[in-house]
Amino acid sequence: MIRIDATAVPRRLVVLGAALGLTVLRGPLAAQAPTPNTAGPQAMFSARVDSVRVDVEVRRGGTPVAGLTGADFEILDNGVPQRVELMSPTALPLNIVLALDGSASLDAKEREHLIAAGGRVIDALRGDDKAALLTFADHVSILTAFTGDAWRLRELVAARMEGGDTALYDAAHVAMLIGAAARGRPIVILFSDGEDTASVLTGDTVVDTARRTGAVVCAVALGEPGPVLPRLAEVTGGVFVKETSLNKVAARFGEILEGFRRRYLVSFTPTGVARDGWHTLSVKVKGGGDVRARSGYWADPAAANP
Amino acid sequence: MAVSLRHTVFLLAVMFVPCVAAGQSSSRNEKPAPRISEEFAAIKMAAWTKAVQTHEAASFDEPARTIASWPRPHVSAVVSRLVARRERLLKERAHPSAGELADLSKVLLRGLSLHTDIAFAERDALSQGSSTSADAAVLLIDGRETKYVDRSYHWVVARQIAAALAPDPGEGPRVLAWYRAIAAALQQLGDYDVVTVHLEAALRLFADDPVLALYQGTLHQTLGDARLQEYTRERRRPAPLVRRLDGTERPERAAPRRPDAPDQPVKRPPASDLRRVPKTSETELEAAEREFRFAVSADPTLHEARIRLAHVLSRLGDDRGAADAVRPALEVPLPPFLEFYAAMLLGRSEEHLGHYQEADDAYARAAARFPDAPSARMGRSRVALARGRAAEALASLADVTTAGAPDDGDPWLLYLRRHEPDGAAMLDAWRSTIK
Repeated sequence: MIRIDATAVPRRLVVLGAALGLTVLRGPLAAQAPTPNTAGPQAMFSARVDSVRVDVEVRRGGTPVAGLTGADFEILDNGVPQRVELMSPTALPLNIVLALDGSASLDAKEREHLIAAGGRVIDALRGDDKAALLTFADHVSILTAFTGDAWRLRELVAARMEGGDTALYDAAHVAMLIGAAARGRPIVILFSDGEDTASVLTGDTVVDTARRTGAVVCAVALGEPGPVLPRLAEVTGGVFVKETSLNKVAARFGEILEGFRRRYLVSFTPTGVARDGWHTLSVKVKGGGDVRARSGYWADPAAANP
Repeated sequence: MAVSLRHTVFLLAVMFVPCVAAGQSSSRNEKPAPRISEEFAAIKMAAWTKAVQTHEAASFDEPARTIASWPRPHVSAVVSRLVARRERLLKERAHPSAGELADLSKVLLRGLSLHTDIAFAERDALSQGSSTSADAAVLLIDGRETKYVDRSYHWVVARQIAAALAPDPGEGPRVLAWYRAIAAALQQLGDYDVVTVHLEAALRLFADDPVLALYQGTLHQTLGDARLQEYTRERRRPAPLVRRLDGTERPERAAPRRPDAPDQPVKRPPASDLRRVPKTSETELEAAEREFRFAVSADPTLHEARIRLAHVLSRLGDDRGAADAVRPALEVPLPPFLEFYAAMLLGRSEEHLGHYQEADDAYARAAARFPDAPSARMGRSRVALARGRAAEALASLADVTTAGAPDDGDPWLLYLRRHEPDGAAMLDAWRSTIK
């Protein structure tokens, strides 16, 4: 369930409507074909796949590895080796979707910590980076589509949250759709203090959404979040952090964003594989290392003619 | 003060579950009244009878307030004596006292109405406070303990009267209607502690009633829901860590919090345990399945049971069975809420089965019934994405954002609470039969 909270931020209806309209009309979701892009290959999902872009984190001994080239990466698409190109990590701005739990199980002080955590992300925006903000309780409220207006974002993060149950899966679905629809590197930073209690969507379906979109999901959860958030992180090459205190969430958000900026951005044009269906990706680096990347992508010929 | 259910129905995250001291019997609150003198009892009976005869149903009027102010032993003594007198008269039914029996039954029926109204009124008042009683109810908000509240003993009195009247063929149907209406109303309010006891009592008297089976199934469906399961999981954990705001932890059970005063934990009743509260989700859902199957077999026109059966089957992983169960319900005219609920469930099961066109058709039917319901749009968004239509998936959500949530809430959020007909309507109908 999703709606705009017109009471808290009366003007964002227009903002969101315009932004989503723009996205649908001009973004990669609607274009269904690569958009000319001086920065490099365009991100694709659920579409006719001409090129695939993957965010890759490489660590050795827990430390991020720097200085790798395209030749250092080995990517198998459904088991078939691909020719990998390394893109500049600054080639595309970050599109951060901040999805925050506004359910009733958070008390006032915990919400203050959550506001601070959101502020940490906003403070870390650089250059052309943008952030979108949504909260969720028993419904999902998009407070703003992508904007680089940090002042506005801070204002919205601090806006009241409505309370209620936890439509976590619905929120994740919306966040991934929004994140993947705009040009840039989509990352969903999601916080929840518990398990889903109110979504229309089920855990399995939202994991399928993760497979069909290009967003990287990084989730921080308090308590026992159930298996879906870790699964979303695994499928999208993101991070899942189980935290014990809300006053640590700001630090976790900062670490997530910092880690994401250290990731490599690689791309390849699939060759020797079927065009449609699920493609399992295997990403490795020569010399070894712990690699975190999305587990695959979905190419659907129907997407070319929706 | 009018007794209304409407104002609380949208507090969806709020639910009450039992918190009963370990080892205590379920009939703890239903012990016999203590002895009081017959002379005093006679005075009280006269006053009680006058109150029930002048009480206006569905209100917390002066007669109701008077009886509500009595100590519990006085009320129990009066009702116990009247019930006992009625039992004596029943044995003499063929004798000239039959007229007195009818009069007494009528008074007791009005008493049932009076104590029902007091119980509803006290519910609202008691919910404002907090309790340290061992048999308090736990107030859950979004699956988290918030506080403990006392419950009105007038439910016990009402059930005592209902149990006395139920065997009478002349009053039985009205008593059954009362049990049904109260069960629906209590589920609507989220009073799962009270409805648990209520349905236990009802099913002892009317074991074969399909509507009560429907409500019992709904209770199990609720107990198997994530909201209560999350709470139960926390309670089952042997020594959960307490999350403190300063980030430290301690191996004790977390004290409940008040939403408005997070730093002031509410004192927990001693030695509490969760008797009657959820077993595992699967166990509860299987129990719900049995109740719904019984209800459908006993009354094939009880489409709500068929729809809820579909929901439970889907939760248990049997989407094919769920789709088969719910389709017949969508082939007959249904009230809007039930049609929406059925269409949403069919859409979800068809989607899980990979039947995207059928899923979209079902979600579209739900959306047609409640055009502003965000849940139906969410379902259509998911199906569009699964069909490779990402732009459509996003556009579905944009439509929702401009429409906003409907003023009366999204029907999807009500399925654990709402019956058709709903509790308030059933209660009104029952009250109209009490003269």
